Amino acid sequence: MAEHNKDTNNEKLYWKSIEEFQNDGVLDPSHYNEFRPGVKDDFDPSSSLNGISRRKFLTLLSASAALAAAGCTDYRDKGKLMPYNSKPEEITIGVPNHYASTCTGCENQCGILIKTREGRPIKVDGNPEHPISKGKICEKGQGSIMDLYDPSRIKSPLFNRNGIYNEISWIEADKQIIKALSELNGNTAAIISHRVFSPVALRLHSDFADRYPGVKFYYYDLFEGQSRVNAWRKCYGENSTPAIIKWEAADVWVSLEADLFGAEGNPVEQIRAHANRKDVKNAQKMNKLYAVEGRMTTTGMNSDYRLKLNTAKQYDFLMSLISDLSKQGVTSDLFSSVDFSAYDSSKLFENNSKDAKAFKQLVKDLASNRGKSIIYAGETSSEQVHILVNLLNEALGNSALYDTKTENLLSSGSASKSDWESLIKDMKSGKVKVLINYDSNPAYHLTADYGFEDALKNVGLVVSLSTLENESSFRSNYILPINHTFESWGDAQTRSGVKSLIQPVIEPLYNTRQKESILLNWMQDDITKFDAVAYHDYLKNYWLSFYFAGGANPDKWWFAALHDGVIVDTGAPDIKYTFSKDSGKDVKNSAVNSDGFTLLLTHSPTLHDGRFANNGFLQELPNSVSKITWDNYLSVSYNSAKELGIKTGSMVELDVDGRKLNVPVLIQPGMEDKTVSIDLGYGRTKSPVVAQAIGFNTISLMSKEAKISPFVYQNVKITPIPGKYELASSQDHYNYDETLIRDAHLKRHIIKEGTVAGFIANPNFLHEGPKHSQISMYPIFEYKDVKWGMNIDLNKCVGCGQCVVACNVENNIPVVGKDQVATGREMHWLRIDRYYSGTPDEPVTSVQPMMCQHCDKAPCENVCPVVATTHSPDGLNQMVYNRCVGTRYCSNNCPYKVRRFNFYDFRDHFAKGYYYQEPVNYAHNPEVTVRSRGVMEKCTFCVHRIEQARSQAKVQGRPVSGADVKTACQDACPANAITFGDQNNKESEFAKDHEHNLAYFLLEEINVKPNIAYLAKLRNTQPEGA
Amino acid sequence: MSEKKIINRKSFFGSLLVLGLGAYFMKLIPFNFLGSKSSKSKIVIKENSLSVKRNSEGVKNGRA
Repeated sequence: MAEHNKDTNNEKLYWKSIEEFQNDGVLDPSHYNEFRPGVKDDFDPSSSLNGISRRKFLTLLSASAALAAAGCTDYRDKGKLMPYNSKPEEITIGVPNHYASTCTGCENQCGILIKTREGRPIKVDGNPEHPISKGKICEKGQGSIMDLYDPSRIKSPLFNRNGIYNEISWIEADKQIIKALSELNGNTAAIISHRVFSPVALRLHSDFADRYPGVKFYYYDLFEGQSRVNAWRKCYGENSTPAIIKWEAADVWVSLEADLFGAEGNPVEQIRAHANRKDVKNAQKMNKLYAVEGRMTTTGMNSDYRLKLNTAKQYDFLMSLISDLSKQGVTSDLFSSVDFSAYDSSKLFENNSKDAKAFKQLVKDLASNRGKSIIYAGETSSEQVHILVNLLNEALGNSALYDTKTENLLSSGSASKSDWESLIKDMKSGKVKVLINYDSNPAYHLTADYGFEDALKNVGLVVSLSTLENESSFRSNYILPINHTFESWGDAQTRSGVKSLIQPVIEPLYNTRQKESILLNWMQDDITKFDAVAYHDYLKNYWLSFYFAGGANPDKWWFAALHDGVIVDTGAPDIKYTFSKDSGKDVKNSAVNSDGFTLLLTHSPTLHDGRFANNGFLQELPNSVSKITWDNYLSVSYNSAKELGIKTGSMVELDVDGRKLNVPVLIQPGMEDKTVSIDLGYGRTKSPVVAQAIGFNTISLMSKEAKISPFVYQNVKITPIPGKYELASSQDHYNYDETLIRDAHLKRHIIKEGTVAGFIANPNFLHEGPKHSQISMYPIFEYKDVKWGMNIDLNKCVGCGQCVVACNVENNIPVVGKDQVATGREMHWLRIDRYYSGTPDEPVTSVQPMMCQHCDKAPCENVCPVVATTHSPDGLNQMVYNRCVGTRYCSNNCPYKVRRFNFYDFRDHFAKGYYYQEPVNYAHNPEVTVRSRGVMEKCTFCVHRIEQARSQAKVQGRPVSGADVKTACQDACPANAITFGDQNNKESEFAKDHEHNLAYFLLEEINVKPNIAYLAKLRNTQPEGA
Repeated sequence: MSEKKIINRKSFFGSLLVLGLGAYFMKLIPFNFLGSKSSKSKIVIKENSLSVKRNSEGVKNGRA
């Protein structure tokens, strides 16, 4: 044993176990390996663990991915793109067609030109041949393209079974309705429609009433201007209608609570007339605009003199005016019919010396411009105020400005209060067996004290003809979907001598019918054979019978009429306006003396009476005055808000004679202290997604027994209540008392203004004073051919925002929604900046359209890390969307903050992809890229229009010229304030205006060389002491 | 080390499912395959044959 302890050299051996000792120090060979056999046995994959090896897994993974990729087609693939095998004659791919038609959005019925691409309408502009609109339309007309493609349009007839609407065939629905109409048996059927301005449609209604005795039509609108009409009739006779005013001939305009540039009368015509008298090349002839109002309006913002007047004191104002005019030596027999002895302007403006001075100036101007001035009261004023206005105009000789060749036609007229009361009574007694809401919404528009909704329960059959669901269709047995105007035939006449046509530019997108065709079908014996062309024939026959003067080819005349869209009669006999001298005798003040608040319910220029509430473009257009989107709000003066202890966003309870509504507040500079105002048309309850629960229903505050007018209420109680409401403003409201930012726009020369007198005395006043030295390290680039530029005349621009909607439609700009606007992410390439100077009580407002300035030395171009923004050889700052990676450095560097970033794919983000649904995609302009998330965008100076003009010029073998291109905003502006052209063509009017005495560039001192010249505004005010 | 040649069926189909779902949500698979409605448009764009257009070059047609 002892030998084992020694090796062959007789040295000591070591052993670790008995086995090793017994085996002479030698163990099983496996013991000498680190890992013995069986060490991995517990981890055998084939036993309890995964049967797949890592290598196998990766092999399978890559094979699956390869298969998936190979099996997939391009996800953008929406079908095959094939050229026409048999091309329709009227369609050439890439070339737009235009159709003349008429907009039926409001009572103005403007002539329009609808641009179509590949058979679908994509843009609406004015019809240049229409003598009233002259190539322009308002923002409602511009935005109406979205109503055609609204995904919420009712697509087929619906029948209400136990509160659930199910689809039904037209034949089935027609059968039931005709049965009910045929079995009236001495009872009545009421058809409620908006006012009709179509002579042919009125004729059809008359024929329908003959076919179904017992049928009675009721015409109405929320804004009927009935006070003006009634007052006019009292002054000028029962058969007379309010005169059309020759605005352009008036040297002095006095607007009495009338938003002439907003929603009053025909804003397109009025803005144009105002702009034509604000030509800087003819400064001596500039007109003078006085705005006398309680609320701040677009008109007030652009006035030369603005007087704050409580809406309920208009009667006092006019009487004081008569009194002061008499003292000035203005005499008239008509003044003797009114007792103005107790009225004195010093009492009216005793607390406001500025307005008192302005009033004196007004009296002077009216006295020295007899026959060349016009006083105009708004649609919210009382009948008594309108009578006084007519009297004053007559006494001052201003009736010389009444158009004697063209008169307003009231067409259908409106149902009176007693008509409605009688209808409701018949409804309650069960006498009304059928009620048809003929593209109208009386359940929303009629005031609650009529009791319309309750009375509906006793009507046997309620039918609604509508494009979208609304408060009235919700209570109907049948909902019959109707064509949009762009899918319809028709005509329109609002003034004598001007008749326009409506023609469809597209076949109905859905299973809808034109409402007139529905009536025609109901008059047929066989309703199963619906004739979609029947109303076209009816219309054509009427026109050929009444308007065709005779000739060999009536069809050719008809085609010409459709081509032009309008026929104008000339040589109308003179209209006589004979004022009844006793008109003023019985005029009494309908307002009471009161220290309480006066509520003014106003007409929204975008939503109208609520019918455009589901139009995202119009909801998102910032209000011209407040810049608020997506809501209505109570405008309150700065002083009153302080007294009540409320701020912007506070909630208050409005109590109007016991009718209450909680509304948010906006502190609006320039409001008269005891006047508060809020828009109508909001607070829709039964409407599609976009309109749902937007704003507050202020129709609930109205009453049919209103003393002054349906829109003015005195002694309104305003009580602050707990709670805050976020108003989405596209432009911040700074603290008015902050000295650092007060008048910053003037100090930084963003807004430069002068007076007419100052300009005439010294035309170069704008450029006097020290100049900034402008040294640049960049070489000067010679623009050899065309260099695009733009001029914006701030004398003509009123800030209406029509250019903004036109730009949105033209450039496929997405609607982002209220929450995103509140975060500052609205995507409008063009915005109208509104600045206040002075004090919140007496602000002077300036407006300025702002878009990409296309700077020669654009600071955005240098900082893009991927060169996604470049400069073109013709002076445009270009944007390459597919290079952009979204660093937003360019936007950071832009001094004008005109770049818009797609923080989301807004079409997907807004209302759960509402605008991703069909058929919204058809509304897109195919010339302009539809941008997605993560990409910067901005005004392109309508580069697609420039390129189209360039190709056309090439085909014609000539270089493109500045006059070939009109941008969308330029096309839309009713004032023609925006002009676009070639700066290098020094002979052109454009280039001369670009270097006018009044032209200036923004932020010149930073030397980015913008290419948009603004012409400074001249206010037509008298110097102090003059 | 010797490689096991056994493929676990559960993992194989499981990984295919995951990949397929991923491809669907990343919109690599055309909607056609899954019968989605958005691939087929039911709206037919058609002009009205009785309407009269303005010629896009400004030439008036149909003048009386």
